[in-house]
Amino acid sequence: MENKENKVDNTTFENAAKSYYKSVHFWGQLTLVLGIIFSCVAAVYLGFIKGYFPGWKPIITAFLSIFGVMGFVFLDLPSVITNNILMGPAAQYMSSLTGNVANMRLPSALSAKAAVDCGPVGGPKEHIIASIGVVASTIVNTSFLIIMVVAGTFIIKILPENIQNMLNYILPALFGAIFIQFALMDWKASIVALAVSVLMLTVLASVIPTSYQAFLTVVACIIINVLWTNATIKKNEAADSTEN
Amino acid sequence: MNLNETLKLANSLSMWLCILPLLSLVFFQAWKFWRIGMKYKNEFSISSEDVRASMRSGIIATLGPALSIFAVGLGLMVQIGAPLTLSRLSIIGNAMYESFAAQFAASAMGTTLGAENFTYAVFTCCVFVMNLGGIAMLILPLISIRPVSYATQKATKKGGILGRVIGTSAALASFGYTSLNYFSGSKYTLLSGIDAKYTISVLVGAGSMLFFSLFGKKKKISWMREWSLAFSIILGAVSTILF
Repeated sequence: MENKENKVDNTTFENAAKSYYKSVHFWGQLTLVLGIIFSCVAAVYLGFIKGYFPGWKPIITAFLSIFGVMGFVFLDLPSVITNNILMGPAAQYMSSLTGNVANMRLPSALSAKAAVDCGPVGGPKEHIIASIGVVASTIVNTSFLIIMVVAGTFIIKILPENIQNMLNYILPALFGAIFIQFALMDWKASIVALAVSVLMLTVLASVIPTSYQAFLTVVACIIINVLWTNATIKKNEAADSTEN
Repeated sequence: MNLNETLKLANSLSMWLCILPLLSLVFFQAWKFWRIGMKYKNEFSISSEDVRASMRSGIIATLGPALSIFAVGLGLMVQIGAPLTLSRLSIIGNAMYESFAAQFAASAMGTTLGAENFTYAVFTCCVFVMNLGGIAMLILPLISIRPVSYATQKATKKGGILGRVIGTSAALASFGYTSLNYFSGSKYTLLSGIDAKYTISVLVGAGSMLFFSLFGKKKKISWMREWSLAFSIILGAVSTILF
């Protein structure tokens, strides 16, 4: 990454980055607005054209009860921040529309970045690589869903029961494996991450609300590792200067 | 009017037509971002090999989880029909939320999913509530991604090495936390006991990844870098059968 930045003329790089992000945000916000509008089609058709409208009272009652259970998802700014650091805006707009962020989009964005020589965070290159991973993931996932609704009932019938149970353990294995991919990049940081996670899940488990645990783990881990790296850099500089 | 007639409506051609715009939007958006990425790839020195490698990795990482939402999707499909399930799971796609929403909507109408008196109006109530939730989930990203994105870019731009540390730390913390949380069967505390099967799948997944990465690097097998994730997931999941 650093080598390439030196090679490319800095002003053209900056300009390209600016116009790249501009079009990402334009199309991202436009598609989300369209998503909101298109979400109304079925409801309007059934409720107002066919005339099956059940009245606002049950709708609002049901919506409020869901808000109680899932409301934190609607207001989950911490995840927006974490995901933004991890995959950049283009991948994030796609993830927001198609969902399954933690179990599919984030893994595909991160493993795309791990497969290509680039930083885990950062500039337009990393963000484009992540977005390609998410494009591939979206298309595969949506095609799978289409197959599911067409042939699903039949497929589940022919799958033996222990294979069906096994499907539950795909995600844990995925998370463990991706953790190792990143641990190999920086094993010191991985020890910090594990220590903070253990602390969060034991001593602090009853103190911190569950919906904030992951975010606070991320924040604490970033702070500790940044301080640690800073200290190491200073120590090395001090060592260098005494040598000279 | 009864359950069967409602399910006929739920699986009718007009319902398929209603969800078509939403489904097409998912593909359109993916295509659009693909085009934007390709337009700028030379500016940011991304090679065609990089593009192929990241596509393959994206697909491999999705295969396993995509299979695992099959089961939830099927359950929902039987109750609210194929078109609505497809549109709800491809947009936002939170299977848990969708199941809750459909259930709550039915109970606010004084009935339940799959009951004999699951009328057109109850189904319409489900459609309203599920899509309202979908809309509610799109609002935050719509307004916050742009400002958050510019803020994090500023923060990570400052120091090359620190930017790298921030990224690795965020990934390690979120995946480390979730992995450890799986040890308890996702109960958000490790103090109430450990779930053996979940723990084994995490550990075998992690261990196989360690092996494949180090082995692939030592023997210089480049395809192993992309396939290591698929192998690790399969080994992690299959190993739970043995216990």
